[in-house]
Amino acid sequence: MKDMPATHHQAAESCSTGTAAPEPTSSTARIGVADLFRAHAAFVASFLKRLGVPVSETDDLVQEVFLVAHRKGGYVPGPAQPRSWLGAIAVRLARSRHRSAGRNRESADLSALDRMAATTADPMVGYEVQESLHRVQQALNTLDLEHRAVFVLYEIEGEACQAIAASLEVPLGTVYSRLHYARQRFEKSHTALLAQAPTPSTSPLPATPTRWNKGR
Amino acid sequence: MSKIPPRLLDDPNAPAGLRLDLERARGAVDNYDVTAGLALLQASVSGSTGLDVDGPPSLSPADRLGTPNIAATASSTLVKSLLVKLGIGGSALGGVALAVATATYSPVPNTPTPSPSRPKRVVEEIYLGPAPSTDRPTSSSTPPSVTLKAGTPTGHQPGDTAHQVTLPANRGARPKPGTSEDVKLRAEVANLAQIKALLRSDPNEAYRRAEQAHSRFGRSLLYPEREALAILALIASGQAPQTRARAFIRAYPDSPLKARIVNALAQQLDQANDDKEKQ
Repeated sequence: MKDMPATHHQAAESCSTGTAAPEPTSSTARIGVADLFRAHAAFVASFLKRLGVPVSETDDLVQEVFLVAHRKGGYVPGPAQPRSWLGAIAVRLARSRHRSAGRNRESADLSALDRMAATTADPMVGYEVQESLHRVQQALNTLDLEHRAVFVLYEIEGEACQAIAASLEVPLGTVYSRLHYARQRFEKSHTALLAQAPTPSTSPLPATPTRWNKGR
Repeated sequence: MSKIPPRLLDDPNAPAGLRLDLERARGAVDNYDVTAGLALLQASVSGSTGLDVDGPPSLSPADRLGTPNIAATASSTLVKSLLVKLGIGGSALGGVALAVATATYSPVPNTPTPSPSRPKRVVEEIYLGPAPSTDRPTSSSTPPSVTLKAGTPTGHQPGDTAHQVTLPANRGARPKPGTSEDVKLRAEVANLAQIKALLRSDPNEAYRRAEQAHSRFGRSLLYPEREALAILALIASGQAPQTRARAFIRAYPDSPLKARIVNALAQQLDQANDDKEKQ
């Protein structure tokens, strides 16, 4: 598919179906980096992990993302929403880091996801959530950085595709094509992972003995 | 492709297992420490100038370091000291420390070179003169044990304030990322940044936080820096923590913050003399 350059106006029109429209940009007041950090630092951290940045480097890269945001003068309301705007900065930094490390595709540290799942009080639910997060991350790991970024921003973070296009500074068609490819690949990987799983994710207990059901 | 299908989460034709996993992924919350991260960011951005991260990034880091004051001079030295310590261990905080250094350290001295005024000489004689060089620790790798006498107003009673100051044996060792030690070190760095930022605007609050951090972190890796900031906060708030300053200088004769404390005390003495002459 040939990518056609799309203006923000065109993007808003063609992306109206099935996607959340960005909030109206009635206010042009800049959002300072401190407010951005308070509101979106956790998002940036989890986004970087989903992009495959090792846990040991996540904190430093979160700082870099917001330092770049500060150098840009903070977030200015526009087609790009704060999350997609920060996500785009994170993608560029992660890409730069990948290049310097000589890696095209990187697997995220699954232990980081365990800490995200550990907030659940019920250990059984926590186990299932952990399994789900592992599957999602493993499926994401099959995607390269650009496809992964678009997929995560759209499917998991719920950003609108025109906001993603504006943030990444690519035509809307590019976002569509990346999303289309990423979905196919993600679904294929996820289906394979589900087939390998000992039990369906909806099962209340894992089939293999664990510390919870061993001996029953 | 002119129209994009609904999100997989909202697509009834998508496999149930896929939708469930994506829903859980969307609901997963990262346990990122926003408070500590913001403090680090503020330290990186504002450095010693007190600029808020909400402020426009119009000035270069070097330009921001124009105002000589206790807080500013302490900050630059503090950062250099931190860099040395964190660098020794090849710390995971290297990137952050580098950013802090970039924002705060200027190769051009940002304070007026203190003339060897009489007050400064007096202060140096008081604090450094009689101390024999053999009392000083010869190696940073050997934890020195010295007796500190708390000065005013630490809240300690004058009679029972002698206590041991022992540098941790693992001083300079690198905590593994993600471990509790690493988290603690990051929190300590963030706390130092907060104290530093408060030093100029609200020295009383800076002192209160330093004391709180002493209770929380104890004789940790960054204890000397925090203690120096506490002393500078006391001086900035108009008090004269001479006993405490003397104890610090004797305990940490090689501290880069020693000169700042001496200068601050000398300035305080200068000011007192000027006031007397005016009267």
